[in-house]
Amino acid sequence: MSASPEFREPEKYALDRPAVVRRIYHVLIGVCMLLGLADVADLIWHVYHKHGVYDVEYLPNFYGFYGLLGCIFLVLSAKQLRKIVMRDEDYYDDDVD
Amino acid sequence: MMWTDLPPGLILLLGGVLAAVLPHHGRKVLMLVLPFVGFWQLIDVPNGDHAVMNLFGAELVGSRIDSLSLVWGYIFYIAALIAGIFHLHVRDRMQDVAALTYMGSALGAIFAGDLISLFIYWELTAVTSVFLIFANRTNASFRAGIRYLIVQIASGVLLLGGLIIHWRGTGSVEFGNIGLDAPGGVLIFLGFGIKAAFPLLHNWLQDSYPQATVTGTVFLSSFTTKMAIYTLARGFPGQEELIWIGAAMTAFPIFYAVIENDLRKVLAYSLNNQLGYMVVGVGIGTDLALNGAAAHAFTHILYKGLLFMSMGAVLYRVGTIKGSELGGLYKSMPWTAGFCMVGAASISAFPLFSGFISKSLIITAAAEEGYWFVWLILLFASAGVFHHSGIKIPYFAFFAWPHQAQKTCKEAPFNMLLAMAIAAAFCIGLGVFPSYLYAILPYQTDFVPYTGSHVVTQLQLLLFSALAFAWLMRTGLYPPELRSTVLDFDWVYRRALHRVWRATVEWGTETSGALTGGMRGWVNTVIGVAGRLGSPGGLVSQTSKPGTGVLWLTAMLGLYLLVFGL
Repeated sequence: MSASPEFREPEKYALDRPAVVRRIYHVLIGVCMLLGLADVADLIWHVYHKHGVYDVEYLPNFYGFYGLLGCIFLVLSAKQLRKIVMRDEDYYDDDVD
Repeated sequence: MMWTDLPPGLILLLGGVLAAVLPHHGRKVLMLVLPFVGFWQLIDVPNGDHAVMNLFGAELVGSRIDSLSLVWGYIFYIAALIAGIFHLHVRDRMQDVAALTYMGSALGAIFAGDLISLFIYWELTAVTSVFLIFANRTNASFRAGIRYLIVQIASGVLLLGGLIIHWRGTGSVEFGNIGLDAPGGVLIFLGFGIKAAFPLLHNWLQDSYPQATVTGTVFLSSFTTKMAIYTLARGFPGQEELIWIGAAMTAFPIFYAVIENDLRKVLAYSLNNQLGYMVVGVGIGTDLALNGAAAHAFTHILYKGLLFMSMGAVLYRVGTIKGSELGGLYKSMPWTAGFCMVGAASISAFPLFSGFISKSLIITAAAEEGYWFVWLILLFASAGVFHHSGIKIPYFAFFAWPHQAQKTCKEAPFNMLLAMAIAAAFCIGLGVFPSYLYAILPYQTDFVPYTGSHVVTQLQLLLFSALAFAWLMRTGLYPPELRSTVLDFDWVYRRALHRVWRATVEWGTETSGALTGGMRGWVNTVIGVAGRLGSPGGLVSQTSKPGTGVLWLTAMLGLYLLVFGL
């Protein structure tokens, strides 16, 4: 490959500071709460006219909870899957040059 | 006349043949100019069947231009141009020729109006594209290429078998709506299914694409599988089995994508997942769903190409694409990181990005047709694809804070950045102005993607998925990237069958000796018994009374008469 990578101490960027990362996390939580509240508001005042095919879609923040639990299930079960299907990097000896 | 009857695939195919003798710059000019020529032909030539000829009573249609094939034709030429720009710096005749002939074959297949032409192009895509894998010139890529070739050729053999049965059964080789119940339908379906990476037939994809060259994977990711989706949409629309096959395709690869360390392999798994949406769309088969499959193929080629380009740029600059060894690259490659995030937002179907305006057609169709279980799987897979393609890919390549020994390198070369910029512009442009894409879809549509309901619910799904990622990361529950091999179905033919074969040979060597001895024993026994029976004083040759012998003879004659009389 063209330029060989070098190891050196890179410059410090804002994202290198734990406080900034924590701030991003908190903003994300805040946005999620607002999105969840939007559904509650829609139930009462019909803010954005939610329409769906199935009844379950009208539960407040159904999509949010489904995504949250779906992803946690996905990651934790994939972690268990590792126990069955993970091998050494050179498991297939014909992959090695 | 000549122009109208020129099968579209031949423009790039003949260009590829020409490239075999041209010098470097000539080859690059071809790669940049021919996509425009081909695109112009599609706009210029009227819809209908062209290049029709009769061969042994079979009507061959070299160029069928209609609303379905045009969607794929347009996007294939756009992809050819973008990948050509990305590939501009590569000085390798083998890859240039392979890429041009491969893209030409895929375009030929899209516009083939009969099964015989389709079969020829189908096999050509296999034997041309494998050189993009061989071109890495490593032992691993050579072996992966051979495995790829075996699977691809097997797909062609199934298609050929199905086509012969279909031809004999119906007297026609026209490539229209075939259906599983037609003669040869199942074989043709399986042939298409291999290239569309149906579950258990999928593993050639994840096995070979990460072994191709930096630019080769970008070519590969755009054509073969989407060509297969087109053939399914043409030959098996509304085939209900496809709904379930597609739903399985969206769900199972995402588990692998979470734990895979090779980031190009993660993208191969998410490519498999995206094909699942298109297969579901074809299976539902309503106007809305088929529009969704076509639109999703269109947007998918762009954002998946963009993601493969960004990972290719990282591999080109850093020399590895393993998540366990990357991180913090947004400092060295800010543009590549930015383009990668546009691709990530598009595949995750964020509002204002291209995936949103195509995927929602399919999910809406699934819900409206009452497939509630499939709808739930598609929603789960949507959250999952955001999780691994939307977050994991950019995070582990470009951020992954904190990371020991972050690598620093140069930003990607200009031609790579330009190609990524064009793809990113398409991703945002289609997301903001979906009507341009909707206008070229096979069926009239009045679908409105940007309703308050669509936007809010999609943002809920995605941002809460992001929250899950952030929470799992901060609590340390998220599995770290590990140097590893993750076993998938290819283990069956790379190891299990191999072991069965070796054990059979060993067992056979041991037992063949015993068997030979055993057979000889049996033969000796039969000879011995017969000899004893026939010998003087034996049961057969006893001469008790002549009448007994006659009786036996009569009984046997009677038996003969009975048998033959019946």
